[in-house]
Amino acid sequence: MTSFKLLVCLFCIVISDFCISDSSYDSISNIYLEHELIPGAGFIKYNSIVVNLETRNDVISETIINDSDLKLLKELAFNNELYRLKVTVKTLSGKETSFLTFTKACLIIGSKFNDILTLHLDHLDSPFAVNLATTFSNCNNLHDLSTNKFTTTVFFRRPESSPVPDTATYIQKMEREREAREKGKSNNNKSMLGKYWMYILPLVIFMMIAGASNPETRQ
Amino acid sequence: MTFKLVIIVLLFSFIFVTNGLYEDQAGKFDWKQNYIGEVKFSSIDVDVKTKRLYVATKKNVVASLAIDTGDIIWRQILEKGSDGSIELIHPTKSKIITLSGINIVKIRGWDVNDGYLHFEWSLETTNVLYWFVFNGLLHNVYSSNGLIVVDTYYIETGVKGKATYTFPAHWFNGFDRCALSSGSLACFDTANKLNIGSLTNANTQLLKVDTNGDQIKAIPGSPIPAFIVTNKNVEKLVYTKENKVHIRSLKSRASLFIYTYMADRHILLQISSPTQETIITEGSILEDATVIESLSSKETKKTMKISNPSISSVFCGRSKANTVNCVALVTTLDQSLMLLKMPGTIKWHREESLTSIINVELIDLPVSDIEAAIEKEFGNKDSFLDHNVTTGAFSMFVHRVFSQFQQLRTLIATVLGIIETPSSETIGTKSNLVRDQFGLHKIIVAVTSAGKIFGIDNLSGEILWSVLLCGIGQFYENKVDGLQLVPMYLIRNSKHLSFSPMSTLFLKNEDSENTVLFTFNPINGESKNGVQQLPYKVVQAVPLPVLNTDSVRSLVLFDSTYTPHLYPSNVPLSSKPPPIYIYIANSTNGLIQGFTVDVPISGEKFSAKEVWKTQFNKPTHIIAIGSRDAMEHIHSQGRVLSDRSVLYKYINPNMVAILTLAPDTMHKSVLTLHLLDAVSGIIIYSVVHKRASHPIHLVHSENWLLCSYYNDKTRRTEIASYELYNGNQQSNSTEFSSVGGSLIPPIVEKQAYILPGFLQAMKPTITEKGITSKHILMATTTGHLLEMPWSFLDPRRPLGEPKEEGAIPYIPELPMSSESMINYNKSLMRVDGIYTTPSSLESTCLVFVYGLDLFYTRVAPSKTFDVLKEDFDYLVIIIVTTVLLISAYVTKNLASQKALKQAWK
Repeated sequence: MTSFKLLVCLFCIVISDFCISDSSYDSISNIYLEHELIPGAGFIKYNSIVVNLETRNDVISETIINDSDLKLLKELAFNNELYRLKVTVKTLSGKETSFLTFTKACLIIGSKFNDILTLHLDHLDSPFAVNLATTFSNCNNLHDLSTNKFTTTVFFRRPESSPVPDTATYIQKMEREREAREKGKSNNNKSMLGKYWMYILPLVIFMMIAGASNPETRQ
Repeated sequence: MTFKLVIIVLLFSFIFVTNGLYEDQAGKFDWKQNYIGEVKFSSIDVDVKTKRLYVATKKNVVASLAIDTGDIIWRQILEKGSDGSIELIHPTKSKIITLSGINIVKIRGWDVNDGYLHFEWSLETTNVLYWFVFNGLLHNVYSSNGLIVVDTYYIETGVKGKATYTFPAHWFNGFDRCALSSGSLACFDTANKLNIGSLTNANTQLLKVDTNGDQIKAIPGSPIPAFIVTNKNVEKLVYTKENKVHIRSLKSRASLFIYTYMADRHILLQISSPTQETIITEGSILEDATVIESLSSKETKKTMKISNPSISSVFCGRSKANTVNCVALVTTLDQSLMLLKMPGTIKWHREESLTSIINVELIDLPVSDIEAAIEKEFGNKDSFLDHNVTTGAFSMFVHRVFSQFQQLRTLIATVLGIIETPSSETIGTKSNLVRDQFGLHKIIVAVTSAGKIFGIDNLSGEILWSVLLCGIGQFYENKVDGLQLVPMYLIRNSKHLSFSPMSTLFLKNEDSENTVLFTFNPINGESKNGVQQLPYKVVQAVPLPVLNTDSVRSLVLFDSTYTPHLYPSNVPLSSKPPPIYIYIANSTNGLIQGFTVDVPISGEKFSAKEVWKTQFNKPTHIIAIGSRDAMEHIHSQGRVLSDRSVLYKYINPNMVAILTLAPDTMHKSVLTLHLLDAVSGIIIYSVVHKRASHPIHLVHSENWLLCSYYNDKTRRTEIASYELYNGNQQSNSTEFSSVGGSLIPPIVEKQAYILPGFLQAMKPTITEKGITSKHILMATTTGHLLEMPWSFLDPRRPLGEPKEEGAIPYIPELPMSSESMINYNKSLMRVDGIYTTPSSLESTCLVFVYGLDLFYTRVAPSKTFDVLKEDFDYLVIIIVTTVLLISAYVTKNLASQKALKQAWK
């Protein structure tokens, strides 16, 4: 009995170990967001998001930005400057990769701090690009801003798999056609002319007309 | 039902087999030039009757050329790459024997008359040092277990000879310190003394030579062991004869050749070219240094450009006047091949560097002087920024009178036959290099890896000019595939009347990594102060949307620290350009960065700001970036479906396709296609192709993409086709902007097709307005140039019942009908690329295919709907029209008379 328990235990350990080694294929654990509020002055960290890729494919994170930053952001929007965002992705093994993305600053204000961050993952689930977008794409009513709550939605996008030549369906289709043809043959064994006279007759007439109207054939 | 389908298929097959060519049209719009590549070995046929020479080239080609003309008599192409690299040729009476390959060596015998393969045997061997033929036996020199072993084989049968020799390993100490000539190995020992030993018999002793040196080179094709030893830039000729070493000092730096003239007399030929226009030959008896007067000459030819000539093979004979005459096959540094008759002249000349074109562009010719005058007269400021159109009434009147006087003068001259009409045979002369009515006459500017630029007439294939780049700069190298790169920008086109066109090449400085810009006129190859050394390395160059005040399209150059510069600098722009977005991709580390640059109107002092950055993971390489042709126009914004609704195309001018290839443990290699908006850095779409490997080709045009790759799993070439649509609504319809644009990703239609063959190159056709339907030109390894309508590659081809009008039912395999092979029986081998450019005729697209052969043709994907057929009967139409006019007039009169008569009744 004990030996059985031991075996089960060992099995469990092996399985879990295997599972972990498979899933911890350097999965993403944290995302740090830094933005630039004064052009050329450098990035300020304002949010960090904890991610678990196994459970969810999107994360919503909210953060409050302070009044001085809000003022700077408004100034950026009024000057029609670009809002640059530096996104650092940290994986479970501690590897950090940073990406840069941008949008117009007025769009951030215009969408009332609702932005969407898309993290693009390659076929091994490691990120290679980050894109920033806003929920509304208008630069109007920059003045009636009632909130200072920054809502970031993070989406993860994986590449699609490539199309493959659909030979199976095509062969099936050909097979069906062949069967239908054979069936058709056994049903009526009239001669070809008898069966398809309605197609052949117009063709013959058409060719006669074409032949008559073509001067070269007459020569 | 099935019959209907069969009828439909039949009807479609009738629709598409109309691309054929009539027999009398062959060669009318197209030309093909055959080349052989840079010559590695050669041999002149001793038999005077056949008058041939045999060459083996670095493009793995064995060929026979006619001595009198240099025309190819036959040509055989061996395997690509190192598998087919020719290591040795050995001419016998009836055969040319070649040895090719590195580890598995193939020995083949080719018939001298027609190039047919007589025999082939192969040999597996490793650690090969040298190959040579001695007494009809092939000698394989290789190192094994600390010994140098020489195996012998009968060259025609492959039977191993009895003799096998071994020599101590210290005889050979590296390829840079040793050389083999005519079966003798010469090496420097540790004290830099030269030792020579024969490898053709078992018990030879090393001959110690009392000379020092730091470099050794064998004289190619020498009948006796002969070497050039360089010691501190002083060259000496060392040769052995009857087991004795002779040393002869050489005066000038020249290429040498030794020819057996009489039993114990050898002729030493020397050739050199101190300047590009002159060629000096010297001949002497090797043994006693007697100068042979008839072989010594100095020649100057203005039209030639010769750099570093070397003699590849020689044939000498005694003339009636009892003087020695020789013909020598001479190769040069720029890979040209010429036959030199001594004494005398260059008999013919071949430009073999055209087999390695690395960049090509077809450039419009400028308008003729008369047309330029008309343009000047009616030109307005909008279209011709470069000249000051005077707007005063009097000056315009003077202009008009002047130009009309000129037109009258040309007319009279043409009528009197003083000036020949442009359609005469003198194509290529200066006066004829003018734009024709339909924009079909252009100039092909080709840059070759030998460092030579050519200007080629596209109608005749004649080389109009050539420029050597040696001394100006070298080429940069692509770090992923090791190919040479030479970006070329047409910074001023031919439309500016008062300025000549300008092209700029980006070259690498010979001593550092910095960039050298070489600017030249692509019409005549002239360059005035065209070389500009930059103090930095350019990593990206982007043309601005506005011209500068010299009508030059300025380039924004990014150096390796991502600092932008303007070229040409110090010239203000004509108007303020909008902020531009530039991306830089690093193919080796997978980093792509986007920058925005705001160039002020003065063109001085500006900086770049990094706005986006993507980073592919470590082993990923960027192998191709496909952007749409800048000249491309999309005529139709959507596609009408069967229910009369419109499916709008997703047309993003900033979208580029990026192909990355990453090694994978499970799938061998993974090819990923990313669609990236180069302005905003947004990844629009990505798709993974597993087990895909080279050859990979990418085509990006309009709203669709094609990606061809070799599928390792199914072992065939597949083409994945993608098409992007916006759906039923057109987003971004008023004004397109990538920044802060639509969030909704486009609808991607995808489908894959099987290509029964292997692709060498793929390119879509392009026309001026984009009305004509698109065809894809595909060069296959079998030598065909296939013109495939895009509708065959359409991802919306229905699998079941056709839903849209004109949709072809899906068939996985693409048809390769012989009618769609536009190069008919002119096979194109080793194609490196296809270049397409629009003509002024909407129906016609000009095609230039380069590789081992050059091929030029024009294609009309939707047939020549805007051109009358050549057999159009003008006479009949004139007669019919006149008859109709006359009869109309007559009947009108008759009718009025009848009406009058009736009125009187």
